[in-house]
Amino acid sequence: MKVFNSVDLSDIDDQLDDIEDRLILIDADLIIIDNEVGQIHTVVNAIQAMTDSLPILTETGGTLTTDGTAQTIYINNAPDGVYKPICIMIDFANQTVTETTVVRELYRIITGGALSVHDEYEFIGVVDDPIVKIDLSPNRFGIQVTIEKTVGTNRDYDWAVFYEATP
Amino acid sequence: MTVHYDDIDVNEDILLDLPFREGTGAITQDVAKPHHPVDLIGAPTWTPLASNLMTLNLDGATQYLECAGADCADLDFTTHSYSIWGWLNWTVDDFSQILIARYELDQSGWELYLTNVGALNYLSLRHHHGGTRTAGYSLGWTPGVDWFFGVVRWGTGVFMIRNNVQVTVTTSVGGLQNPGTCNEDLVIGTRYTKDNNFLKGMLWRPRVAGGAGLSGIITPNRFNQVYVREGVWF
Repeated sequence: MKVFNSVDLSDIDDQLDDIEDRLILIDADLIIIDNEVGQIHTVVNAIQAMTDSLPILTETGGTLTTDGTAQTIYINNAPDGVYKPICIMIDFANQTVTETTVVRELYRIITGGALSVHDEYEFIGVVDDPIVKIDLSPNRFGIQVTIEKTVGTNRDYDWAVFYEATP
Repeated sequence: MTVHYDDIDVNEDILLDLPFREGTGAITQDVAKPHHPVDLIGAPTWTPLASNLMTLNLDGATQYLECAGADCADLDFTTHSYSIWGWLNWTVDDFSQILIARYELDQSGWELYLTNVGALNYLSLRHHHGGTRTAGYSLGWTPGVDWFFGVVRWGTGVFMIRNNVQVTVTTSVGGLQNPGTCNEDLVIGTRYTKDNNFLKGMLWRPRVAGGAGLSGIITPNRFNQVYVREGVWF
């Protein structure tokens, strides 16, 4: 007995050919997408390098009790690079009519140099507006703020400093 | 454009952050909100890396950092989650060296410490409670290498990150139990009695976050962000 295949597969063959063609196109598209993802990675890495190097606005502070010597309130003796202090605030609310204090702002402007006084502020007796704000300047090699009670009783002084730095 | 410290994800629940920017002297400032006053005892050496990043080097004999217990009650974690992270490079001297701790042996508090036993180098987080202690540890903390470490306590679990990889942690049976309430000083680089287990080596920017619920938990992804950002300095 002779057997005939009653199904004509030529349409399916055509469709398989179409699918194969489309898979080749998809492969080509994937190569393009791969390249574009690679480029996006490069851009993201570049952006991350930039954002990682952005300065972070940071604050620290505390309370210092004077002892009659020149005491460091705040210091960055050896910044890891260019450094941007913004300001220091010192609260003189505890200072009475009998006290005198001197606040000094020092900078080192060359590697290996000394911390030298840039400015000096004397506060005698009660300070009417007790929170004193001193603007600080950018530097690369060091900054220090000191306080010295020169007359009167040792007192507590709250302080806060703001600066931008990385990391 | 400036990034604001308190807006950075990883700083959300931060309680202690010591970036060691002073570079001199016997006090280091906490840039986290609580402003913990931290004293340097025995004159640890301020040591810049090749990148100029300032670090502290402890001698393994007498030097450590401390904050009075009364000034750091917020670091008394009992039921709360907390995370500790920073950078270290240790040298084996004392076989057991405290990184950072606030505890009384077998009674209260927590401690994070390094141990060397033969070829094995452990980093362990231990809780002290009711006359005993429970712990979780990981291996592979080879001396003489700069490591980023991230440690998280969450319930009875401990999770640890070394550089950008989460490492296997083995815990006591039943996991970490809640530590007893502690009034001891915070110590960095020595045991709570301040007379032994001194850290020998480099330490940079130890940080602690903590809080109720899920706060205080730093995720591996966030640790990785810190590692990528800060790793360029080491």
